[in-house]
Amino acid sequence: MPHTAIKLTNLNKSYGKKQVLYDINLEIYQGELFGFIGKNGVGKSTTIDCILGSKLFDSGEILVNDLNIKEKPIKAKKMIGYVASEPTCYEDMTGAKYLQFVASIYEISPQIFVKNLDYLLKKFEFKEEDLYRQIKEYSHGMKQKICLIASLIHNPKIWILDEPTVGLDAMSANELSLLMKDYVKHGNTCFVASHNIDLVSKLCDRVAIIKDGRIYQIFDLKHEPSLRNKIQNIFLRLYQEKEVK
Amino acid sequence: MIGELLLKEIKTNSFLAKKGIIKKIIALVSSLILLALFVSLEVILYINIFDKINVYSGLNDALFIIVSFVLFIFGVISSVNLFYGDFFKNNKEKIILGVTPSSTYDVIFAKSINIYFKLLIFVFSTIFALSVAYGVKSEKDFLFHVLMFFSSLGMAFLCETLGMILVLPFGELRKLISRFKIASFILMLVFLLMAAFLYGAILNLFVNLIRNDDIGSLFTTERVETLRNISSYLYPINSFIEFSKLNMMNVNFVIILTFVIFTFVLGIFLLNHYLTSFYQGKLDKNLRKANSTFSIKLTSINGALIQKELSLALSNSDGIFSYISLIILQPFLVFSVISAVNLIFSTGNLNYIPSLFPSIFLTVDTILIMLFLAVINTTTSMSLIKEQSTLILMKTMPVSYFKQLLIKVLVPSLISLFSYLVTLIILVSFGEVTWIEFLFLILVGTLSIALLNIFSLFNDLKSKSASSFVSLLIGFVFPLISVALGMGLSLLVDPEFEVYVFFGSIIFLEIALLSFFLINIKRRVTNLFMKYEGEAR
Repeated sequence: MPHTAIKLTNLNKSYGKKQVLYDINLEIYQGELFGFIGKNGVGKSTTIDCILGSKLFDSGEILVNDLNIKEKPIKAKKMIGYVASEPTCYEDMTGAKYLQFVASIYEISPQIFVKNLDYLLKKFEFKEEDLYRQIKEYSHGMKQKICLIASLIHNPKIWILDEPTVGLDAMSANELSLLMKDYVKHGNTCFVASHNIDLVSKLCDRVAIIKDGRIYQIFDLKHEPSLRNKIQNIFLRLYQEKEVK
Repeated sequence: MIGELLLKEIKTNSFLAKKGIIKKIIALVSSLILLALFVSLEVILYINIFDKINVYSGLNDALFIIVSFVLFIFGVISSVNLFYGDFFKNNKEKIILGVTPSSTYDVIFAKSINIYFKLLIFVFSTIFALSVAYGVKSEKDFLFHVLMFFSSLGMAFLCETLGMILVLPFGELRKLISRFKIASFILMLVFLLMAAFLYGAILNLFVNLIRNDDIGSLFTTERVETLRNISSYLYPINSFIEFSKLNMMNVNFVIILTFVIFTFVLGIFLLNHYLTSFYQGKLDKNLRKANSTFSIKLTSINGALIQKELSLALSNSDGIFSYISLIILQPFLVFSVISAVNLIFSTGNLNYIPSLFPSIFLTVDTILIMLFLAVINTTTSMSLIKEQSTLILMKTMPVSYFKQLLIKVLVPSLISLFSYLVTLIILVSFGEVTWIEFLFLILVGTLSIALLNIFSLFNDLKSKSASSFVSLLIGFVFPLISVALGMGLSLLVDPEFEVYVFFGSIIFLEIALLSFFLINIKRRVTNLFMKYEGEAR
């Protein structure tokens, strides 16, 4: 049995009186590329926020590499690299300053920083000269790339991405898919939330569909590859049922 | 389409932007009351000044034109600033407007009309108020006031058209200097020093007039002649005023009309060119050429957080402006105001007050110092609201929330403290405060800065909306209450113990309040920040 990288047990979360997550149970294994799909506003980002320790939850437990996110938040956060759905960074900084800031916060050595930076700049076809411009001068796609680079600069064990391909051109989106695959090959874990079913069904080892704050079903695409072509229909049927009702 | 766009501008830029009918009414009524107070005070002051200089032949006319011209320049600067805010700062809004079925002309006209309303308020509350005072003291007929009314409409329009033209070089200049931090720092420094000296000169003039000294030394025959000469060259304001006085009416009307039409056409053309270039993406080509050297500067977690806070504060010209104003203006302004107030109470008409109330200097000086400290500290404090869009970064960093927030509070506090110490050193060096007051004021100010910033932090963490108003209110109310307490208690003791009781009670109050915030601060701040999560995504 592979080691569990992220474990959610009976996770419940409300905003005021409105409950948005109901008894979420998930186990994401080390070395796995896990997809999390659902329409907008069904609880994908809130689930991620709870895993990241950025939002309090009402009940349940979240373990990140066996560390309870409530009890050992700093150690747990050190293992995670996160990319938000909207490029989020300190835009008044230059790209270089921002990456150095992230590297300093995660306390990585200059040697590892240079090595990782060199690799990631090439992977995302990000010109080094652009690192010296303020991020606010970047296009949306470039901002997304600098956030992706920042999320990996400290070699995280777990990479969490929320709608990562929004704003990226086709080439970069494809490069990102390859990078995700490559990333998990090295024993790391990738958790990607998206409503891009095509991307997730082609890429992921397992996929969970979330609807109205509940996990509807988890599909093991690695062991049942035939499901890759069916996920889209299942997903559409699930949400159409709701609309018909 | 212009109508819809204009409605949007008015709704988002006025009291209508407030949520709820009560808040709308409060915002409108409070603005009107403040404006009425400002205009009344201004008219009284102008009438007093015109009264005093009435003895000099032609000085009233010259001063009316010169002050109107200075106000007009302020109007143009405000106009440039308003156009800059609307056309340069908010790129997101420009993009949204770009996809609406409206032409660039629609956008320009809608925004310009909204700006014109604001400039009208400025011109009528300053230049027109001045003209009323001038008209009353110079016994002008009703027609003069009617023509000044129309001239004020024209002046506001001219402020607008000049703003349209000047905003483009201004925007480019800001973009350019923002890339060179040292150059922008020096430029701001020079600008603020000039503003500070101008302020000092005006304050000096005001103090002289209030003290009712012999103003003959201020207005010698040569100076009056020079002022009259200067006023005859201050186009186009003197044309507007001469037109209102019915002097060479036709010539002045033609000059004004030609100038206004020319600037209007040029302004519209330039703004349209700028907006079109923005939508065509031509402006992106002007981005700076990249630097080619990369020196790795990784630092400790604390160092990185401090650098981040400084970067947030100083990376744009607004930030540089507020920090330089803190470093330069606070010492200068506090010294100017305190020395002026001390002079007013020690000489001239009001010198009987200290004999009735000996601790007046101590009380007024301390209130002023604490008020300046509160205002300047508020402008530079690192509100969490400024980090709203990057809150997720703070929350996902593997650094304790308490440490992040502590550094967020500590950086501006230390800068405020540095500026405050410079202020006190200047005050004690020039004998405006005694050494014992100086030592007490260090403690009072340090505790005030800590109190204000910690209060702001708690206030930000507890409220979801902008809370700077509450912080500012506390900044104003607390000095008044604490100084009133100190003054009251000091009256009960012998004069030789007055200073100790006065400052002792203020310090006691500050420590008591601070202790309330400091008890369990780590746990309380961490819990509040964990709950500080905004809305569901």
